[in-house]
Amino acid sequence: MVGRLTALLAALRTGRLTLPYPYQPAPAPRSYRGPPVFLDDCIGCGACTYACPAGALSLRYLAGDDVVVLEHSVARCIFCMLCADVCPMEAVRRTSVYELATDNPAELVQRLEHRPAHCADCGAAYSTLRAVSEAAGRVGGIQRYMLRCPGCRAVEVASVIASSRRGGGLA
Amino acid sequence: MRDPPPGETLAALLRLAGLRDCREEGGGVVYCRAGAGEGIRAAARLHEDSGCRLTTCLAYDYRLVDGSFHVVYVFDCPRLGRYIDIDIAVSDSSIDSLAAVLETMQCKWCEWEIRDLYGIGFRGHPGRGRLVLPDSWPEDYHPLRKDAPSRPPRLERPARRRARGPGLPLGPYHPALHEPEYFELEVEGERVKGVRYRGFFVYRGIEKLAEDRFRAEQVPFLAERICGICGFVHSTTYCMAFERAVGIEVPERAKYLRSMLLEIERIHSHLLCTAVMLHAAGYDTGFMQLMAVREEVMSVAEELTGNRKTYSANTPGGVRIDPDDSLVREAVERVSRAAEKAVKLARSFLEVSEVYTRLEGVGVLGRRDAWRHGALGPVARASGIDVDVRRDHPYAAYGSLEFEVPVRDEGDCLARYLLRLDEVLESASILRQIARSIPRGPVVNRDYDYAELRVGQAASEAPRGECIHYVITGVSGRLWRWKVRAPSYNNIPLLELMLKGYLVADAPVIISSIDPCFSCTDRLIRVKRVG
Repeated sequence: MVGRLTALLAALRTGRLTLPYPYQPAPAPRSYRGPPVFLDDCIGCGACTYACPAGALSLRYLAGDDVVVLEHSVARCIFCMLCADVCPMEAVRRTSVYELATDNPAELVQRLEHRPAHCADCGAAYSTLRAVSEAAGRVGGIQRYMLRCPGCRAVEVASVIASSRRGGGLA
Repeated sequence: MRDPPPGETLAALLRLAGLRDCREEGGGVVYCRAGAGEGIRAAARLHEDSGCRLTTCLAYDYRLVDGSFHVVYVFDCPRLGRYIDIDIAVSDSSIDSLAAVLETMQCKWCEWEIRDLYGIGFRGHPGRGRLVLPDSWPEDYHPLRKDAPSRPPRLERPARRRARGPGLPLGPYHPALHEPEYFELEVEGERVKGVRYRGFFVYRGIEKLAEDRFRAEQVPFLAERICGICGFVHSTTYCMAFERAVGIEVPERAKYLRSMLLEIERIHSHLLCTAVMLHAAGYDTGFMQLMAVREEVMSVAEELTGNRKTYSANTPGGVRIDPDDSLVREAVERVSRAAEKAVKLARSFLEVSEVYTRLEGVGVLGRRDAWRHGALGPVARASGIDVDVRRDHPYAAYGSLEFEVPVRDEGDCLARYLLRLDEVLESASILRQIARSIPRGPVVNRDYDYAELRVGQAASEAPRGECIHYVITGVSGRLWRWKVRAPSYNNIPLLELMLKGYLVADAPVIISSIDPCFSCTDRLIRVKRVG
């Protein structure tokens, strides 16, 4: 009997806890990790696409290598914010949004378009113009290797080594 | 549990077991290599005579490195503060079964799983059919082998099986169980006479996924999703195993923050379990009131880490959050107050005689069974087994914190209920110590080099018991092997012993009293958030 009274008292003391949500907004705390938003400071370097554990981010070369698209899919995102941790431009902002349900799947995707950088040797798109110029700014000027795609860089390094060899066992 | 002879040392123990090729690594793990026959003999001797017991076994495919599979039997030696791993190279795809010698549940399950996933035969193993894979899975397809085809096979519809005898099905979908698992109860009138268990309905190969697709520093985010309740335990244990493998020093402040989040998680997990026990006993007032108090703990976690449950706070080398001192103090104060309030409430519910009689003397697990079959966590401690990884093998900041390990002897549902409440109070006291003594400094150490083919093993005390992660680093930043052994993996088979002899109506109460986490056991990726 005593126990039942205790429970009754506890229930009365607690009162009603249910909120009249959604008729009244129930904002998440400021520290809540909602989906990230990618700002215009993005240079399209792709660091976030490499870090993302969920595969929610991709950097793709479209329209015959004429445009580079950074795409973020909220549907795949796990809101871990590793993209913000690795971004060299601080171009990823955390939001506290949680009402993400939609009947339009396109709303779940954010796209940022960049102009690609083309390799000075083979012409293939390998990065974005903004990423190359940002890199040049950070090391104090354009370096020869920056204008070439990783493949052509490797070929150039190899041919420099080969041409500097004199004698030795292998031709 | 027999007391070890006085003055026993690690060296004496290894000599007794006949293990010669041993080396001790960080974290108190002793790795021993042994041949097949000698290894099984040593394992049997360790389990029976030494104050150590088998906690799990695992396998890894090392054919590309040294030409053979390896089976590792992991022993917990709480008095010596060590784990002893017996690593047996399997050259001809079958070895003698240890389960046939020991006749214990945890060994039966872990060898059975290896047989399913690696195709290693265990001669004399008592299990028939499949444990993890579906019954219609092809015989020659072993998914965790390194040369397994990348696509799953087309499965035939399983043949309909008729229950043997008067079997009463409980699950796979049952209103009192919440997760997919299947118990077939053999009954005589209202009494349970025997139990057959079929689980792993949601096995999705999360370990294989990590080995194939994730880099080592991304795995914590996957590990965290193994469990819908105690995810932080898994990401912490993974990080510790990886840190030991590669040799990363974790800053002191990060250790304290890990301990803090682990204790917050233990409090909300224990409150959930007690609430669910009341629900299974038919007392929903108690369930609602406890869950209401638990909500406070969840919102503190949200304010500290940015989410109620999936904290995303761990990374190899430390943590990703750095709350300031006032936030830590306030969070600890709120959680501790909520914990004390909840414990008072939960104890008062036992004064309702219907609740008390549903728990008292029901589902008794004896001390000897609990020790031999590898019961873990609150299930073991409520049956008089004094083990706790936090004290026996200190990790995170537990070495510098003071706390009691509550132990009870009754072994029934009531003991497990009360024990968890005692632990909630201990956790609150640990949290207050952390708020007083947390050091300042960096929270993450990223200054490390990846090392290839190194082994690391870590254990932690999850709310449900000892959680073990075993990591072998691979090439190009990936893992060669990642093994997860969640505590419910050892506790669930013990339900066969606990259910026998009690009423069918007690089954949901008994099952919820071990706080089973079927998704941990099956290692699924659970996307549903709790709470």
